[in-house]
Amino acid sequence: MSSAAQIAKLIDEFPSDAALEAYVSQYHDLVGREDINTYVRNLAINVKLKGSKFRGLAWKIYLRVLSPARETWKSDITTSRAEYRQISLKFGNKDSSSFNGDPLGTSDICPDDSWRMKFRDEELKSLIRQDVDRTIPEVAFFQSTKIRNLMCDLLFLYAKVDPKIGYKQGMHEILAPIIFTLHCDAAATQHLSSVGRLPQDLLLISNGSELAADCYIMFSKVMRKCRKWYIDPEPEARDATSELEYYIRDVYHNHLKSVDIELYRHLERHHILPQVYAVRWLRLLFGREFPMQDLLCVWDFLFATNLEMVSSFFVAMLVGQRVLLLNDDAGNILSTLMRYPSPDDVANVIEQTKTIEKSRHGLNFAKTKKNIDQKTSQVINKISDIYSKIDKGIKDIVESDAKPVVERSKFDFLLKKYEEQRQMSLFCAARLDAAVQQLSSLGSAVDGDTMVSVATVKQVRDFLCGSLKWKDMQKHEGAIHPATIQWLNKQINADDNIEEAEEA
Amino acid sequence: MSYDYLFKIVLVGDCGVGKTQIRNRYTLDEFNPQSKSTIGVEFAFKTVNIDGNEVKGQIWDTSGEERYRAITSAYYRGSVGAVLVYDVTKPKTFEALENWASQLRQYADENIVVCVVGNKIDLPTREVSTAEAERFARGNGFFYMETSALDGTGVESAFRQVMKKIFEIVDSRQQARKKTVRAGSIGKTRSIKLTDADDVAEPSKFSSCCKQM
Repeated sequence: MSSAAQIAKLIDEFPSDAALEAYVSQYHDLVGREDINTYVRNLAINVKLKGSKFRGLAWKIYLRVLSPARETWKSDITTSRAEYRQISLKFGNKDSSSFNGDPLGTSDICPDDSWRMKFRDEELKSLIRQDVDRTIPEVAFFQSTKIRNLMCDLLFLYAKVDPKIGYKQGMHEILAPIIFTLHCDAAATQHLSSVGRLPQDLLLISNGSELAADCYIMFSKVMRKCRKWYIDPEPEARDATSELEYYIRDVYHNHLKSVDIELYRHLERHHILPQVYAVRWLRLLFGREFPMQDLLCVWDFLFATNLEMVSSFFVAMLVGQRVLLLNDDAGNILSTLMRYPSPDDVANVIEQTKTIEKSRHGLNFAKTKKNIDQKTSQVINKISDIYSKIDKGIKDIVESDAKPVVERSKFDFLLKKYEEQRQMSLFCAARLDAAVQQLSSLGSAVDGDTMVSVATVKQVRDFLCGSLKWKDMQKHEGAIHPATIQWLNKQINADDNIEEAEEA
Repeated sequence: MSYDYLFKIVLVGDCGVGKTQIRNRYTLDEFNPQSKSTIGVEFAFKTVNIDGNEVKGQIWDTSGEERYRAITSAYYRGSVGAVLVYDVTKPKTFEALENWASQLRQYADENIVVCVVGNKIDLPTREVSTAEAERFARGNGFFYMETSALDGTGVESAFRQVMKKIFEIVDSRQQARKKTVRAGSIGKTRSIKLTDADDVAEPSKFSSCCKQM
């Protein structure tokens, strides 16, 4: 099969029957599958969407603008476009005739503050315009007045809908590649619809006259994930740290450190503050660090992984330049990171990201396993403690039979103690249950040894919460590992010895 | 290229007043009407000769919108000069200088050399007068220059003046120290801080870029 890029070339150069055929067959290849989601996702993860005329469609699937079931696409897209129209009607451009009152009035005189609102809106618009006019100047597409106006309208709309963020510099460069991609999709569809028949749902989804709506929807989906990087800390709180800074610190001090300690130490030694370069990396989703065509591949990957690999990608960018960085001094390190060298093949950075992500899961898994092992031994300690106390309590009660009146208070005390221990067992059972859930969610990543330890933990949990009885466990030989019983007996004896020694 | 001193100079001011253009004009001698808005921070270098010394300027500019403390403190840290920029055709950007000056006082070294720059003087629609801006600068102990990043007027000389003033401070301090400190105890090539104690203490953040470039 021809590659996406070859087909794209064909479509652009010869809007012929052959191009139409290739286009339609590629569409069917994409969507005529049982599991569209996995297939389309794999395309992005393996950097196979370069130059594709269906990139916008793929993004719509990744970002859940379209559900994984093709049958519902029609209703998905119609609903979201209707939502956009409502928002647009509510906040979009209004002409001044709809405003009441005196434009020069203050709030005391003016019955409604629509004029003041209008002035504020005008200010917001000119702020947006200032950035939009400076959007990706090296790409001619963004010089078009029509596209610029569209960008201004959509950013203004978003600012009104999400007033906590409003408009912040950088959002324009999140929107720009989205418009570019959806526009390319729609242009190809329109182009080929003049040659022959196209599938109905494709015509509906990739429709140039709905560009504004579709871009807005997709932009808000991306912003849902990225907006945290645009939030200012509260102005009153002097030492407030923004979420962005927390995020950057976490990536740098935890993630990078665990992946490449040598590089981390080198950067630390040179006092390279990650926020100096990383604010731009994150706010623009790496938009300025790669040429446009590479960036789109990066976004394919980030969107397809639900923007959950941003941190690993960030680390991959650092590790990818480690040779250069390790041989640089402070000034050059910053220069490298602030003018990130164009990679020979962006697929390498993505490959690196996948490797980092895998090792990260490995690390997390090892950590979880260690935690559970620790908890298990803690719980076993507690069990032995409980039993030794109960035994001792019974012994005391039996012995105190001779003088019941005197020992009444001791009996109450022991009952109380027993109840306390029971509560503690239940609590431990609940904690273990949570751990079991966590381990179980790792699914196929779990190895044989771990399965055994999960089974042990489950057994201990059941025992603690009472659904498995101690006597049942003793009845079945092998229900408890002989080593555990031996260990338990030793613990109980040791406790007895200590207490006897204390009493003596 | 080797150099004797490294001065970090920051550009501050509202969005769109031309900070990046001024930096580009100064460090690259170019004006690109289509430059992108600055997100976060950017910097560039330029080396000049002052009284026979090679002085390397590390010129930083930041987004005018940048209010994140994360960046603010990193941005001002170690800076010895600041250029406060406003747009002479937009009074609002001039009024905002008050805020920028107070941020400067909060985060920067108290001895920082500050130059107020009125940019875009090539435009016919000027609205802030020279006298007004000079009054503001004098009142705050800053000096005032006017520039056009578009045609280059004043840019070079504004930076030269800032660097010269920093150099004078550093030089006079060194002269004074020579009497008390034995020669050779301080390497000549290093980044500069204006607070006296720091001068000999721990090398600052960018000290290692002083070695060679």
